[in-house]
Amino acid sequence: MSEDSPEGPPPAEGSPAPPSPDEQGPAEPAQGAALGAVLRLRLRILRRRYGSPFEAVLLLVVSLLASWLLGKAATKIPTELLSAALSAACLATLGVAIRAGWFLLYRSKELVLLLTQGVERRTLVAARLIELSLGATLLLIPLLAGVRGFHVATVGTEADPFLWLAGLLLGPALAATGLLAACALASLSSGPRRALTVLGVCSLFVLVGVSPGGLQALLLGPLAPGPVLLGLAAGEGRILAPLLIATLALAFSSLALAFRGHEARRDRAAPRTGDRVGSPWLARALRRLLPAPLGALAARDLTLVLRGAAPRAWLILFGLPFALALVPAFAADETIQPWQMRFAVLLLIGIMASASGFLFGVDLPLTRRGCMILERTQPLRGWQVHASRWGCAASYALLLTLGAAIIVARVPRPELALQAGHVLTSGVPLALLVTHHAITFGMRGEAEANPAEASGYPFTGGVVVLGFAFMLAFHWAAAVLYVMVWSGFTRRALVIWERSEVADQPEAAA
Amino acid sequence: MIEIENLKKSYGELRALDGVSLKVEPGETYGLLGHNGAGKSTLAKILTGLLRADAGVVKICGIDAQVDPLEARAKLGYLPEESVLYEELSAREHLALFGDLRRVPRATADARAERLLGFLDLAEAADRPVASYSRGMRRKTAIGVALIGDPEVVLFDEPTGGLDPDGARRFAEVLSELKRRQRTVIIQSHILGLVQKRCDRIGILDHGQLKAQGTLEELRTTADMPSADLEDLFLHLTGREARDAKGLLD
Repeated sequence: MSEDSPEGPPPAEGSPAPPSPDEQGPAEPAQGAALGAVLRLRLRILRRRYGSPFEAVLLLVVSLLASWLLGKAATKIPTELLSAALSAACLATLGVAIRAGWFLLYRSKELVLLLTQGVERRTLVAARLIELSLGATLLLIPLLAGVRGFHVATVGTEADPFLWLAGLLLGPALAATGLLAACALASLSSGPRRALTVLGVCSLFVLVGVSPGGLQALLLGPLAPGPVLLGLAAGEGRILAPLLIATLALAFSSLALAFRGHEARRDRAAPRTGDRVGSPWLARALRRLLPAPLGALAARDLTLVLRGAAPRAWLILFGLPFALALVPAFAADETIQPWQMRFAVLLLIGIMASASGFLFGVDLPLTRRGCMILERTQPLRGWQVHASRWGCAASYALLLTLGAAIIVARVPRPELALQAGHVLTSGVPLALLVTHHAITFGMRGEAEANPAEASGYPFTGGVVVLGFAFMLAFHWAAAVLYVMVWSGFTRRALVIWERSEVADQPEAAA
Repeated sequence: MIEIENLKKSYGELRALDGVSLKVEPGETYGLLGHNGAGKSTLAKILTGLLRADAGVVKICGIDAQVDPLEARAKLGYLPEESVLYEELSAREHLALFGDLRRVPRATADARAERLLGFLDLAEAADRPVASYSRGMRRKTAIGVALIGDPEVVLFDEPTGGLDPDGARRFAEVLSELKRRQRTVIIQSHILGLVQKRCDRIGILDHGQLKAQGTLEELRTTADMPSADLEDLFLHLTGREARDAKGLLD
């Protein structure tokens, strides 16, 4: 695709270029209808992809958990640390918005459909801004809930409504900034764009490692989102007007700028013919070390995750280690008994293992269900697929278990530190059985071609985690019970998977 | 070899397959024609084990696909109608993955993958993700995936969809090689020229029933149209007529 617009011949030399349909100003009613149609289309797509009860439950649970956890830990967390964490979370949301803006404006497949059907680029940008604003606001909800919990615990009164108002403004502000940043990145050709990305990541490391003062200014400055949110919760409404002005300015700027030169930017953002991909070394090692079908399946899953095929996978893989920060928080409670510490850490290990199992057993297969026909027309035994998924999920869960045990061994109270061995001996079977259960559950749901069944996982997975964390807190041998109770379930699930029908191809591809 | 006897499959009230029987010998290329919704895709899905038949027998190289679908799958290479591929993997990674899944020894699979990539004109793009491929390149990759295990039976569903003339010609050469290796091939296609030129026998499926099957000459005899081409034979045997679109868009 050239930079010249394919929609018409270039203007004759010397003659003034005729204004593009976008620059002529849209035929308002027609484009208003187009905007509505694009938004309805996107809503339908997103509802199919992410509109399961699972997502709603996840958002609710995470929000309540954030509110409760920050409320419980309010007296132990310095306000500055919380402010910095909030700012970092907002910056991470901005990163997500830039990535999503890039995809929605320049790489989404439906662009071909929309732009050839007369949807003007200005309308497209408006639709993307609305969609991204909604997404960013939803991502901010757990953050705001956490701030509310912290405020209630420290001050003793309900957070000011300004806080929720700020959430409504911050989401669109982040979305508009994301669109503008994506637009600026797409103005560069691939070389400078990569250099800028590498420079940005390096700067972040330099800020963290070399210049803590710079990092502090970034995260705790007067305009940083963390202090602003905490101030709003306390009723400091004066920041609201500048925030409103900034949001409006950013939104208008994105609407006014992002559609200009869209075609040329889209061309620059397209993958170049020379863009080759190298197999990740870990995937290559898995393929070499494991027997053929197991190694190949595990290497495929790993490669797909590392190349961004499943957005939630990144969230889970990179988010889970942060949960280990809860272990020192447990130990900081002076009233905690050794057995309570053991139980709490095992519960945490169970939850992390459950998330890892969910990723490889339920979420990844759901994400690539359009390609299921590829896997299911191969001579694969159910146990081979199960073992490859379990291997991935359990490996990660075992790494986290080891991390938890190491942290327990280093806590200041000796009687708690002594629990590290027990955490390891009980945590390993717990991580193995919880991930095993998640993979089995996922294969059963896959065989029954019922993606909605995945929404039931938090409940069944929760029962397994809670029950076995409690029993294993007393003795690791309790894991035998899992083998006795769930082996039949697993056998049946594998047989059902092997003999199940696969949804009709167009449906699957959708 | 493929043996299908009295195969039946219904979706509720709709009879997708109604007593289909056919046999394709090793080294034979069989063309399966039918209108949209005639039952071709259902037949392909039953052969690949993606669907289970209500009644009847499907044997692939003597293995009952309903009783032992995994063993039957091991004998079968399948090219689906849509080139379903992992967008993030390259063509080379696809061939390596499916070589492993079909338990082809690594050295053999790697050498075969190189030959396939070269022959299908994918060598230069072999390390780029499929997301950056054109439709034709995706089709060629999917053809490579179907063939990497050197299966004894190959089922091609609309194999030349999206291929340029050179790609279509290369595919025809692939068919010749499969015939030389005594592989059993079924081609489902609406490109009647391809079927007429490359298939030893042709079956015409309509409303879930095999209306006629045989060589082109046998079909002409059945239809009593001695000089008809395959298009006329197909329309005649399925009870359709050529229609005039004049005024359609008035």
